[in-house]
Amino acid sequence: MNKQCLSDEILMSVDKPARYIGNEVNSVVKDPKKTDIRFCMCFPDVYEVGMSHLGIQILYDMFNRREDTWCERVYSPWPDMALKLKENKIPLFALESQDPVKDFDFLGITLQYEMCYSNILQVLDLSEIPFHSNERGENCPIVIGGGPCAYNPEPIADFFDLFYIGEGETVYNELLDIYKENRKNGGGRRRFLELAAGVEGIYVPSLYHPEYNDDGTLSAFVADSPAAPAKIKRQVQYDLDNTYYPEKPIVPYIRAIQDRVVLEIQRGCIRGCRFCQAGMVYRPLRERNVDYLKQLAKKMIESTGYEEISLSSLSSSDYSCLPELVNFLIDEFKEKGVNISLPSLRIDAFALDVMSKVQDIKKSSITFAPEAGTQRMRNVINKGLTEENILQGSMDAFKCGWNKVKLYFMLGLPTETEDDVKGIAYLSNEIAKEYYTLPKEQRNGRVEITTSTSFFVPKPFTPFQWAPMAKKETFLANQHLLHETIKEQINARSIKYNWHDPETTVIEALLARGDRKLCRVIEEVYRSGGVFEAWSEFFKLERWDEAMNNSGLSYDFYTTRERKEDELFPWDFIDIGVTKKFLRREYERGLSATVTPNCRVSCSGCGANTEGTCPARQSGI
Amino acid sequence: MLVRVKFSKQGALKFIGHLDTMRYFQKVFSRSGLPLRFSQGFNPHPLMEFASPLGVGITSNGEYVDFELLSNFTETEIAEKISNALSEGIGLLKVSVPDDRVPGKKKISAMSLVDYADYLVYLKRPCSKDERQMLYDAFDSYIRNDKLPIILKAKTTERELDLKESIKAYGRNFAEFSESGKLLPEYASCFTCDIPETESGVYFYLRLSAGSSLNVKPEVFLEDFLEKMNLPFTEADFNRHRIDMYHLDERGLIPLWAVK
Repeated sequence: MNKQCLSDEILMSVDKPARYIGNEVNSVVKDPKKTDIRFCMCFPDVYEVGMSHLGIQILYDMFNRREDTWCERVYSPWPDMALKLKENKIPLFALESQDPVKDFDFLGITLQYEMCYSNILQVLDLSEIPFHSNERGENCPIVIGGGPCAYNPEPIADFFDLFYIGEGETVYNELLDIYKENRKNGGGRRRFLELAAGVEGIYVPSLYHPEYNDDGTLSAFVADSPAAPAKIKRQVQYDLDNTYYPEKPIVPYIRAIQDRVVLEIQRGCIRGCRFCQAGMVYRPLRERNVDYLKQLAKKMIESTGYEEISLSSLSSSDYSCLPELVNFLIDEFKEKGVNISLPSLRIDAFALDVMSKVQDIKKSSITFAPEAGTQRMRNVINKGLTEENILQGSMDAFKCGWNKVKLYFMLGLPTETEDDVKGIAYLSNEIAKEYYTLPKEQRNGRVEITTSTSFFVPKPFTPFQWAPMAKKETFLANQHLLHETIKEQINARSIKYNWHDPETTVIEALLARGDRKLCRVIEEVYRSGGVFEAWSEFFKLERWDEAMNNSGLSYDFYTTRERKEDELFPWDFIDIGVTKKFLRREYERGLSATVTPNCRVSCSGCGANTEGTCPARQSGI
Repeated sequence: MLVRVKFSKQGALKFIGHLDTMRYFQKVFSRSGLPLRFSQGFNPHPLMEFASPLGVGITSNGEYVDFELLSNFTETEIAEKISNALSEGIGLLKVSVPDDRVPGKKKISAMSLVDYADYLVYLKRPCSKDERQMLYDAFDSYIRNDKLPIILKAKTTERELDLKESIKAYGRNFAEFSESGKLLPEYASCFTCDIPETESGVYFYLRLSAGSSLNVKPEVFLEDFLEKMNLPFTEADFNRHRIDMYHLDERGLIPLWAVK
């Protein structure tokens, strides 16, 4: 068992000390004297959130397969522990070895959502690593960022030495080999960064500088060194059957948010919803072989003892072997007491049959995500779900015994009118109406419809990256309108409306399409006490207001401003396969509410098919 | 068949609380491949019963969990399968097979059997001869009182208690404790404590009332002792360790693993 870095006294004085002790089942311990590279993977949020993340488990497994590398983990200490660390001058440590993070060769930080950016600085601060890349000495770890937010790394560019753009299975081995070689040759940090810039998919922010027009928009993104390529090519793991996947995922002692085996069945999506970044940056669709998945599922359950297994993908209903896989899981595991957790499936006969086998119909709900209240609006966002689909699906579910329905919508979508907002209420009501057409004997009590709205945030690399976000006043007015309209419906008592506070949305939008000028703002927010801002109990808009003010920047420039067609975006230096031309075409089709069919129906020439592996292409359309 | 497993909890794993320990064992059983009886419903879980929850921060070599197997195995087979599924910090000490039905009585389980538990409360760091003397002298006077009135605080209630009545045996070292807390001869040889004694250590062994009717935790003694004797030490200076748990029947005290 490892020797604990923290004393009993400190551990007993904080909430959930198990967050900091390591020693989890399937965690990897190596002899540091026998390894050449020490890699510390970080999820910048609390342990229970970080341990739910599949990406780190994949990379952890991948790095630890290298004999010369030991990969460990670190998570953001909860504020009570962060205080203890500072008070006692204890530098932040990795869980497995309990050694200080600052002594590692690499600190890899995964960027899953913008609201965790201030936690990046918390981790650097507690690790005693300088915030800025250019302030780090030879003995500092190389700080590398990856994950979906790396598709626009500019707002945090100053804090990272490298970014890894795209899927992590491809070029890390090359990068680590270069690191070792460089060290052997006596090359230092600067030299390593220049060499790293030559690896496809690696972005070295310090080798570029942005130039701005008077209006604040980007005029140029300039490479300062011949080592720095003009475009960074996003990494794609094409073969998902012969690559890394954790057969022995780490099992935390305390309850993580996702407390189950996660089976990633495919990457990419054919639907082309216009608001969705993942749907664009993970193209083309790549499935994992169903027999491989069956074997993986068995191995993972055996090595962990988890009681539940879930399927992960962007649109599981589109996985070509879904019935075979799901039936296998039910037959293999149900008897052993392992439950199957299904993501939101398209509600059809198959889904209902499967759900009735794995869920308690009386307690579970069926879920639809129309995202928009009218067909016109759904066409704008290219979400193919029709009212008929929804009503039919609901009715089928009601006949099987379900009486709970969850509906997800977004407010503030481009071209939204009051009719679209009210449409959410009408649709919710129609579903309730359907329920009550069933004869009383067939009904299971009242129907419970839970309608939730969140706020639309335009993201980079989507057709809507040019779109303005709605103003805060509009969000609030429309929430209010929707609430009132729901109350007016005949079945109002069957409909519950859940809404959100728009404050964090403004910051999410600011950072999503931000530029390098925001680095200063994020730093100031952290220094004024901003941390764990994804948590409502800690978020304070005032810190951001003040920091933005002090930097002379305006929210609206980043959030509510519609972009010009030919505007240079801070993320345009990244090549994601899908072309900007395609995205712009989709934006214009969206504004005119024109539907683009999914990839299996016809190919829209998005540009992602560089290897010829696209499902549409393969089926000869 | 009903199975009772005795296990230890050591090192950093003392920071895992009871609920998390329960969930840990669910996974251990799943990994072991043993066919446990499960609950019904859509989220079935293996039916297990722990003798007594162990607080966060306490180590132990006397924890118990009962479960039911759907088919028969030998004690050796069970021990091997479970050991292979355990991780460092939780150790398998004993596997026993109690009768699961006593004629005329309801099904007996570990939790209902617990009457007493042995604890060791000991100083974390080595101390000087003077400190040692002070602590042991204080303990002698403290324990000589006829009554030790305290207030036992539960989540929502408080109750007045005479702590002295709840201390069935005590000792300032293991030998003394074995003598004062005599177990029936057939169990005496299995009476051990995982924590080695050193010359500069201070050790308080206690046998306290435990179980569903009256559960006295070692912290209760420690807090009261330090306060009443006005000692320049705090609770944080001591570690706590549970040694074993017992059922009291007509013959005397029986460790849970031996209850048939």
